Amino acid sequence: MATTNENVRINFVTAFDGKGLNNAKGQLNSFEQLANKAAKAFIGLFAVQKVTAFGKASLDAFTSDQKAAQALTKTLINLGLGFQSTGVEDFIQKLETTTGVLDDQLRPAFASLARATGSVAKSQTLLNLALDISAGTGKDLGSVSTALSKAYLGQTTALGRLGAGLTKSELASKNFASIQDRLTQIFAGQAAQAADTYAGKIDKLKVAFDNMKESIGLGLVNSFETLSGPNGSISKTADMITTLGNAMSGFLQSVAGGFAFIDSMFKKLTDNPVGRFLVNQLKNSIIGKAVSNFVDIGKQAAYTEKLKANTKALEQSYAQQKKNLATSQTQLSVDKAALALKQASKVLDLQQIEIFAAMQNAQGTDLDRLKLQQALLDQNAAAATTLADKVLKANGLVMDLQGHITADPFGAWTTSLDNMLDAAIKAAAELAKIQAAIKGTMLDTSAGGSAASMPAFTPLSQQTINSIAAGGDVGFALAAANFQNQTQEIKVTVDSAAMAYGITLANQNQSSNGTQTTLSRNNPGYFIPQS
Amino acid sequence: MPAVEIADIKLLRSALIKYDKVLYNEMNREIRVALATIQKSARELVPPFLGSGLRNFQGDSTTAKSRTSRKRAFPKYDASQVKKGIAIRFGKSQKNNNGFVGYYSLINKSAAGAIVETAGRLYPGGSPNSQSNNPNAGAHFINILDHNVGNFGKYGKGRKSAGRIIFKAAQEDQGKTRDAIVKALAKARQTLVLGLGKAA
Repeated sequence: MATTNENVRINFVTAFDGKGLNNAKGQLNSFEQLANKAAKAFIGLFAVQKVTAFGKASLDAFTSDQKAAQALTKTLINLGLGFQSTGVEDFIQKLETTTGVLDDQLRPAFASLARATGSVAKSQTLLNLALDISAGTGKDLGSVSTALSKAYLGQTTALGRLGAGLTKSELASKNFASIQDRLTQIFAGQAAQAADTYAGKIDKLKVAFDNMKESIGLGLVNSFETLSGPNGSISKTADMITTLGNAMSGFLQSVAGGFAFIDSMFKKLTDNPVGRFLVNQLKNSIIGKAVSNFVDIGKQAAYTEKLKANTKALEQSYAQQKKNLATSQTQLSVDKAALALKQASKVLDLQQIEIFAAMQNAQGTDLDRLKLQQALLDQNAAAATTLADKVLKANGLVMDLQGHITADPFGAWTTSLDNMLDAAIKAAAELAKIQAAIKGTMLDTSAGGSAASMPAFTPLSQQTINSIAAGGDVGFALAAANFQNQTQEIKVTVDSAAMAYGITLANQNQSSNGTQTTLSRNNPGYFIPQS
Repeated sequence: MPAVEIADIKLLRSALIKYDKVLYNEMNREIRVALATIQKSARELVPPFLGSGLRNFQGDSTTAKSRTSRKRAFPKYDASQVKKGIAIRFGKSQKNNNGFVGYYSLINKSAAGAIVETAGRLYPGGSPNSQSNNPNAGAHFINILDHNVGNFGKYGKGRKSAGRIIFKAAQEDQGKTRDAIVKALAKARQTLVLGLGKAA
């Protein structure tokens, strides 16, 4: 018979088996759900990244702004104009708002002009002029303010290179006031004009956005300071962040090896309400570079722990393999022993069969002995002990607690030998009686014998009998000497007819053998028995 | 007269097994009677001998040996084995390319029977991939089968629904077996539904 061939089959009823399709649908749905999850996760990640980047930019904007403001203030203080720093800051803020030029550019420009002029008012005027020139020429504010500063100090070369429409002769012949008037005339209203344009308005928006970032950055820093407590500072916050980083590092280590350390660290951290808040903030928001550093620390720790875990796993795997090898070897030896036992058990089985067969007809001590053998084969210690005692008792033996037989195992032998000796003495005595009884009856008087012709039969003396009873060879030697030299003559009577038949048969045999036989009545040549 | 689709047959069978095994057995008995009829008809189409001209295919006492790259030898035709190989199957078949499985089937499962059933179905003039030294061997073989067994009968659509024995029997049956099976199934379903309704 061959295998079933689906091509040679008629199905009278069919049904659609959508199992595969349903599986495919399920898989597609799973994939769709997974894709949605991935998309959401990606969007979330993207949002977090963006927010993180914004927070980072805010902090950068705030720190750079703060740095520039402090540099300007310091410059003014050094120039003896420190008392006017607040006014300068207000001026720069207003100028920033109206012109759309960032304070990051205004402050260095103002500082440069202040260093050159030594006057806040003059610097403000020149900064306005610089803004107009920058807007008119397209040069950056820094270059223009530097050129004006140098020109104020008598170096007009840089100013000439700005393309402000001043000739070399004008720059060489005129003083700075004249040059300033000329430049004011040329570039008046350029900055305001530029600020009113679309690009200028965008710049204003940029300024506003930048200020917002700076404010947020300021708020973040202030919040960190606030987090540290009533008298907190940013250094305290940094310490706490370091503590948090250590805690998270510990957490990662605990994930790999155990949770004890992280428990203690987090407990320590969360005991403090500030720490608790910080942990929550870490979960839900961004904390800039500190977070990045912390994450890096965590990653590093996780990598180290993973490496350690891998090494440990490899070591464990090696140890396990070694253990498995040892186990397999042990198992092999156990198997061998089991095989040997199995072979041995076959022999035991055979022995048991034999014992069982013998038990069918055994009785008494023999039965007990067989039962003892069976108990030993069965390894039944209790039964074996009981039966062994029984068998030993039956044989007059006793086994002590240490398994030693206390009675003399050869004691019975002496008894047996004594019995044998007694039997031998009795037999000798009976023999002597028989000898005495048959002394006169052995002679056949009918054949011509007489009692007087029989030799005297000397019975065994009492000394001989005693010597035999004493044991050893002496008794038997005496007995042998007693019968020595006592000749017994035996006469035999032969039937004559039988003799004749024997002779005839001998002749016939000889004749049959081809040997000539001569029979002479006078000289027969054969032995004729004498009657 | 193609097979009829009963969408809930799997459910019906499992429900019958679960709730009314007696009814299930009764239904199977009716279906078996219907299938036995067509099985008998199919077996009657198997000729005792294939006539002359197919010496190597006709059954004899010798054991065939493969003379090609195939592991199994080309089988010998034995009418009794072929008849025995025409069997009834209740369980579901392998799923076809369209996702359908078959129930209550008639199969021709012996090797010789399958050859007689389908020889020439794909290549009426003999297979171009034949490894025989005789290029006309295939055509000769098919001609003799057509002459002694009969032409292809068709049950359903497509090339694979044609054959000389069981498919021809099904064609000649004119759907009676199929109708009987469907009737038995419908009856069982109705009885089961009524029974379950009463039980509820």
